[in-house]
Amino acid sequence: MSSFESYNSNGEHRRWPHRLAVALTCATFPLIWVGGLVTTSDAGMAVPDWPTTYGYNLILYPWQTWIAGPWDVFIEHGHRLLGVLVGCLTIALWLAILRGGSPRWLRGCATLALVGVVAQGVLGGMRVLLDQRTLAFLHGCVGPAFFAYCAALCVFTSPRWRATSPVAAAIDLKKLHRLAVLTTGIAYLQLVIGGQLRHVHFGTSPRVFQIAVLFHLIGAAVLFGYCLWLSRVAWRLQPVRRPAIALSLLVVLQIALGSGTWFLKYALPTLSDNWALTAAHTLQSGSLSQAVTVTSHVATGSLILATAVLVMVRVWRLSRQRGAVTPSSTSFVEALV
Amino acid sequence: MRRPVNRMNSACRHRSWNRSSLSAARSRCCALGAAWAVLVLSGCGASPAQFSLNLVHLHAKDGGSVDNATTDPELDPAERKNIANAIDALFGTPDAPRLPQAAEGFLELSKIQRAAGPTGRDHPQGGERGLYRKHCVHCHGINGDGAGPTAAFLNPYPRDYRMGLFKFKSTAGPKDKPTHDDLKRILFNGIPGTAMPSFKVLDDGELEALVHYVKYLAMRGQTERELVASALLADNGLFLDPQKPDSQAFRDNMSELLEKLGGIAKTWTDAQSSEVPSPPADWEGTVSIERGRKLFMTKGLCHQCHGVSALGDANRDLFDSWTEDFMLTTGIKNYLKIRNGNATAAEVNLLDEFYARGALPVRPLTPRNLRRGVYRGGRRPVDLFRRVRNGIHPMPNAQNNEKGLLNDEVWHVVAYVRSLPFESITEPTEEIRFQRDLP
Repeated sequence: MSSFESYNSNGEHRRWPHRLAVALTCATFPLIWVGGLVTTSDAGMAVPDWPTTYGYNLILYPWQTWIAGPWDVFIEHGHRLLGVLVGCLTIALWLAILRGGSPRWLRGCATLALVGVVAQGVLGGMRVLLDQRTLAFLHGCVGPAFFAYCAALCVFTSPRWRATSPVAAAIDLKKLHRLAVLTTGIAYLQLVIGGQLRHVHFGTSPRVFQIAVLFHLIGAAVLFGYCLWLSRVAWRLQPVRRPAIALSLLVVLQIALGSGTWFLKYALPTLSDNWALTAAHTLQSGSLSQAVTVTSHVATGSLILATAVLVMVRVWRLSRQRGAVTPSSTSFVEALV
Repeated sequence: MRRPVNRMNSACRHRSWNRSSLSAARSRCCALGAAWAVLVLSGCGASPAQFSLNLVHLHAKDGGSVDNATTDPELDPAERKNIANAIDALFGTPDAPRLPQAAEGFLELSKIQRAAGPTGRDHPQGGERGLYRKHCVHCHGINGDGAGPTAAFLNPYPRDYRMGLFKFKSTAGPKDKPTHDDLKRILFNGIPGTAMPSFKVLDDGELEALVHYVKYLAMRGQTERELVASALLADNGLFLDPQKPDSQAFRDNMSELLEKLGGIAKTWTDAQSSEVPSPPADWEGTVSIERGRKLFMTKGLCHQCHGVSALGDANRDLFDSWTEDFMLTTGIKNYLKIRNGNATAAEVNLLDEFYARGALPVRPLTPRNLRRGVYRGGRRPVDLFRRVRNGIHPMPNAQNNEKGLLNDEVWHVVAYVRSLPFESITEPTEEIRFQRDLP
């Protein structure tokens, strides 16, 4: 038996850690989405205190004032409440894993998740207390990393984690794993550069911004190429075929959302006068379409990262299992559902 | 016996691989962390917001020129610092704006304070503050210089307020300031085909605050230009020397400055929309449109830039006034000289010096394609009348009332311009029309 088993010492699989990990991942995605909306709406300082909300305990803040209040307060306080939910789920997951006699490595992973969620909360709080965009940028970079980590926890706690799948001998799993690691790294780097563009300081020179945009575009092309390559190699590997293809499709969606983001925020740089549609188009600041497109671009970036991590973790697992093959019809994607 | 040995070898290899891979992973992590730190620090905003001097204008007025490239700047660093101190004393900082007495008649400090400073809110029911930094700064820049982070990508470039000049206004004179409502209308409607969005989502109080802040930045920029001009002319010692506030020279400089401030404020308070007469009785009829077409091609000289076809494809060699402000110093009078590589090395060097001081890469003026039916300054007949009669100042095209177009003639040109989106570019001749109608 491999040392990376999620089963307890009695060899039984406990369901609650996996259920909680899935619930945590599902709750983190809306948190990322609303967090993106906070930046899109520039609502980070809508509530000037932390951990209280306008002097109230975070949980006890009057809901009427929250729901019927200004948009930026609604978004920022909503983000905090979702953060509390995610924090509670992480604690529950940590307890479930600790109490279930899970292996040491899994307990370590759960503890790391707990440390991560606390650190992310404190980072968000510091961003408010110090009113620093740099901290907002860091907060925005740690969020997707935590989401991807939660997705990995889903796989670690899944009953399929121990199930082995037949892998054709011709597939070089080490090479595939290296490819998945690189794809994950590029996806995260893209996210960081995108964060820089979103949290750009007003003193940044136009030249620096231009360079950052250029890197973001090059990164998109490289990431797309890597995802296609990964999908092609993973095509023959049933357990990762579907997430690898989903990864490529997500990148296509992301490129479309990125183009939409640019068009809705800055119009088309030089072509606007040559095309009738763009020549007559007037941008609408703070419009619903702008907010949804820009925030979707951010959220899809996190989804790409999480999917890349899933592929990476699963391929790594398969490479560890190779040699002790037990035929199994279960696919990795089922572990996500 | 071979099997355990192999296992042992394999284990050893595995251990050594682990060590080397761990070390490689560590160095990779360090490199990634360093790269991240660089990225973070490049956008770090720990220092409080500050206005900066208009270095491009300073270099144009005080630096070398093509004819006089070796001349040292007349204003030494101490004088430049005095200019910066004086302007800060009058207008404050981006986080704590102030108003000189001369501006109090047409600017409200409370509204400026609401638009200034970092974004945020002090009370859930109170108004949002830091509106300029939330909605405008990433394009127009903290100084209102039109050189925010995103500016280089935008076409046209965001407006530089510091000359106090605006394109789309209802006032008549070449250097007349826009009215308060002109600026508010642009904020509310946006400008089609450009990156300037409509801010319809903002309430009236927020729009008012932003308009006041734009005027504040414009007046601040104009005052800075006046200070530079005064400092260059001053021959009575160090300009506004803070060490000698009781000296006669200081008092003279200060009274001259306050007088100029009063003059600047007056141009803003005097801004009035120009009168628009009623159109003639046959306006927009066939005869009116035909008269407009003839005027467009002859007396109005519109075709010189917009082209005979009105596609905006004639003269694309001119600079706007914001570019001319520093380009004239370089000796490069037209864009073709740059595009065709005919500029001398000295001219190119001087241009590079302006770029190094924050000027955006120069672009030629692009006359509007009138067949699109998209009018950036507003599509109402009254807007078009003002565009045609007053010109789009401070563009190089002269006002049409200076060209001698009568009000009725201006209306006919407007009628022709409004008909252009519906007119085919090539009118078929009689012969072609006859052939087309054949069975």
